Amino acid sequence: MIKRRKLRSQASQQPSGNSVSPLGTDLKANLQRMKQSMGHSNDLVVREFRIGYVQGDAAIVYIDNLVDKKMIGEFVLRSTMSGAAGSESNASERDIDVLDTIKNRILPLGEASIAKEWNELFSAVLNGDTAILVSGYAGAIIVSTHGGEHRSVEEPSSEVLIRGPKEGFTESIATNISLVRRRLKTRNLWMDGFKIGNVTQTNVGILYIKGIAGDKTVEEVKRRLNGIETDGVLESGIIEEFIRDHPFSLFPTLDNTERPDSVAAGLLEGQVAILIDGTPFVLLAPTTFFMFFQSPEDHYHNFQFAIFIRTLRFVAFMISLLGPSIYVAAISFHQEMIPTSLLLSLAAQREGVPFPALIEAFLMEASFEILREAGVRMPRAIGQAVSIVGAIVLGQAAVQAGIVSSAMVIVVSLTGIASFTMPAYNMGISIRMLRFMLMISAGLFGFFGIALGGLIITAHLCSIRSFGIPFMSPFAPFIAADQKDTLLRLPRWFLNTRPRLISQENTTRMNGSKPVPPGEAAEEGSPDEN
Amino acid sequence: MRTRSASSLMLIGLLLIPLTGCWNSRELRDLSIIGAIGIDKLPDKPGYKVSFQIINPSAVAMTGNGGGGSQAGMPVTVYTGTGSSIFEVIRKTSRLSPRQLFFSHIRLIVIGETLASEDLSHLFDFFERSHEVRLTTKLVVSRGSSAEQLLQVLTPLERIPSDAVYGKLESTESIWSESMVTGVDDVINRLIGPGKQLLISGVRILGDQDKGGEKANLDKTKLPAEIEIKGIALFKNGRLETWLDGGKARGALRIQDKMKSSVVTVPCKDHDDPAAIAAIEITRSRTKVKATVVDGEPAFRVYVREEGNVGEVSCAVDLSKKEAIEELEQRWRSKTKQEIREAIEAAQSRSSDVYGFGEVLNRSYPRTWKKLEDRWSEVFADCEIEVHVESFIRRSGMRTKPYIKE
Repeated sequence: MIKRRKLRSQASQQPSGNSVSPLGTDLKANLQRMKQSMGHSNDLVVREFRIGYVQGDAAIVYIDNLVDKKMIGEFVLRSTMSGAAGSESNASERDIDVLDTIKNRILPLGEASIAKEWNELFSAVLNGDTAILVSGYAGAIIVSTHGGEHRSVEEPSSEVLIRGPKEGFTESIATNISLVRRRLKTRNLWMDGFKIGNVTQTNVGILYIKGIAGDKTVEEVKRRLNGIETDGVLESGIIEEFIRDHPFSLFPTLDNTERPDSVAAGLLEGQVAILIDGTPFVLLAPTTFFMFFQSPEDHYHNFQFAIFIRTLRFVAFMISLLGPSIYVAAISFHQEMIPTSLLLSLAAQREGVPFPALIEAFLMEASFEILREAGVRMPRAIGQAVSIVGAIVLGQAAVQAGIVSSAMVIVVSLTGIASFTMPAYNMGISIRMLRFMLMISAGLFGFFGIALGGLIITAHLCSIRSFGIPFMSPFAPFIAADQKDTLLRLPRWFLNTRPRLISQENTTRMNGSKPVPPGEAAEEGSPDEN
Repeated sequence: MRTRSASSLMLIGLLLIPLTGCWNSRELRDLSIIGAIGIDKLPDKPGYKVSFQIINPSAVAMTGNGGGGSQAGMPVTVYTGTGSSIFEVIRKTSRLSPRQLFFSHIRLIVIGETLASEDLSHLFDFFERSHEVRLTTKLVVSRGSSAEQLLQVLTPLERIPSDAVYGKLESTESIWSESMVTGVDDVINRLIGPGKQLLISGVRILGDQDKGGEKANLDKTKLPAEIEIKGIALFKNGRLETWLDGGKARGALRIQDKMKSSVVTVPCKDHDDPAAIAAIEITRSRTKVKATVVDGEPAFRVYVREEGNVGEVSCAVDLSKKEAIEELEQRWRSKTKQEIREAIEAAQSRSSDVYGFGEVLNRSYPRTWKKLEDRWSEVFADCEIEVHVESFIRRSGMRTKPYIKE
């Protein structure tokens, strides 16, 4: 199925630079040309044999390790070699396209097609398909024999849930699509395929639910994907940079996830998923600011807890964005705002600290960021040592040596911990960077600077869009119906509409029904039913 | 070209930011946090002697570092300067203080008794005008000693003396009700309000005045010098007239409906045995003042409704009997009445309307008030003021009959 789509889109989208050149009829020449154009690479396997059906020379061509060898032996070679030659090989039938006949009658495989051009042939073979060339015919039968090594479906490492499916996407787009399809068994789940990257020829697929996703959004996603002109796509981040709105904004305008259930939920709300071969991260468009605060788990636990956790997340967001800047501003500009006893204890701590509060904050924040980065890059075995050294050296020794005050250590560590509560890592990155800017403006102008910075950030957030959807919706513009699942998460039966702006076409999710105890059901239910 | 000019503009804009040089930024290290200000009169010439009680954070905060709090020095330091205006003295004190004085955390302003007995109505402009001083800073009058001496007294438990005094003020106001917490804003309101005069709580040094500032003061379990909240200063036109103490002070609070809780001791039987008493805890007290005008002469009625519990009885009285309770209520009522009468007399004899009777009149009879406003002090001194008290004893504690037998 994927195959067909892929080929179709390929036909409409000629790889630029290569002119159309058809295959010849001479088998030897064809094979020679293939080997030559691949530089006689060792892993290009050419196996010549006599084909049973036409009693002529034939060859299969595939790339080692990309294919499932068992499949080739079992279904391609055996069936073509043996071939029920005698029974149907009438002279009259020999004239009609033999390739078609072989494809239609002999090959017991699901996916097969006929390629008549070199480009088509190469891209199929490089994708892991097997080409069957028959002497005397200008064409090749392409049989889908994908195989080779893949990581199996594992628990996603970047988005960990307590409760929820433990499956995560893998590097194989086919697996990923199957993971989504298994969750959305509807014929309205539509898929479009692209090949992006002049060299990498990466398979990119977009998934959406027809009738829920806005047609304009789907068109826009397709348009932007078609506009990509690059030599290689190795990760979804590369695609993201090519298709995102406001490429210079610090805020991510596309969500990415490793979880099939997140993708399914996004599709149900009218988002379009962009799957890229070779990476487990799937992009979701359009995305709004508040989606970065939501974890799939919000919908899996009870709603009271979800509301509690979401509120906590926003508090943590504020702390991680503003924590050090408020501390710096209060301590160097607005001492009158700090309660007296706290001020005295802060003053006592800072008595021996040689740096101004801003420098101190910068020192600590920078070392925290260094520690964090080191923790990510370190081999796991060393990581623990790093964290111990970091905790002891920066936490204890720096305070005792009087280089930083212990209050600053508390502020920085609280900020650091708070920033880990963000379910979306890429939003966390923007906050980390903005934190430094706000710290500077707080150190220069105090609370006035924070207010100014906050104003600029808010204005920016309100000005950007993601695939036509205002980034701050449903707050700017305000949509009352969408408040049910933004800051709050009301019980499931209240959430009977989809996000208004994202799924413009079909906003009614369900006619919500509250769970009714059996006794009451009899009383209430009977008048309706009868 | 366009991008170059745009980027150079941006660069100029970015350069502007460091040019501000954090002009308003003050590091905590560079600040002397003042806990209290004391203001005294200069003995011979006009002007003020102002004392600043500066908190030494490292001695107060007791931050870890091996628990070496004792060698960190005294919790406070007092600097004193003189000058003809408070503001002048503040700036002048920079000659003494290594750091800039910081006023936002002042808890207390202490006014010397000698200054109070002259005129303090001009004193408060600085506190209102300054953006650093809070208007909620509390005021007290130092009684029997100068403000400077009072600020020097070290206190145990609460290491910052100004906090200690503040704590004493608050707790006496709420559970003993013989003093009141007055902020700078209250004083200014009273000074500009119609006919209202000042009442400010008093504070005195108990014990040896000179020992209070020594570290030895903290080395004893019974302090050589302590700060005690004592009485309420009654002012007339900004001049300290007299002190209200004990029952009078409580009466003063009652008239102003500021009584929160207190303990009243009343004789429990008719006989004059001073040991036979009942202590009643006031749990609720409401006061209303009403004005009437008869033939152009204003008169006032003070209504008090109080509720309380019996907290202690030292004679054989059966509190399960209604009569016994009623008798106690009766005695309590007359005691309350007496306290209020004394407080009113103290004010009337100094012809200073500290309780705001004039304001009550102004509200109910604005026209009469207009006529009397100019000579209100004299009119007030001769006003008829009736006191009506209703007292109710609600509970008798965990027992009805005391174990004492007659």
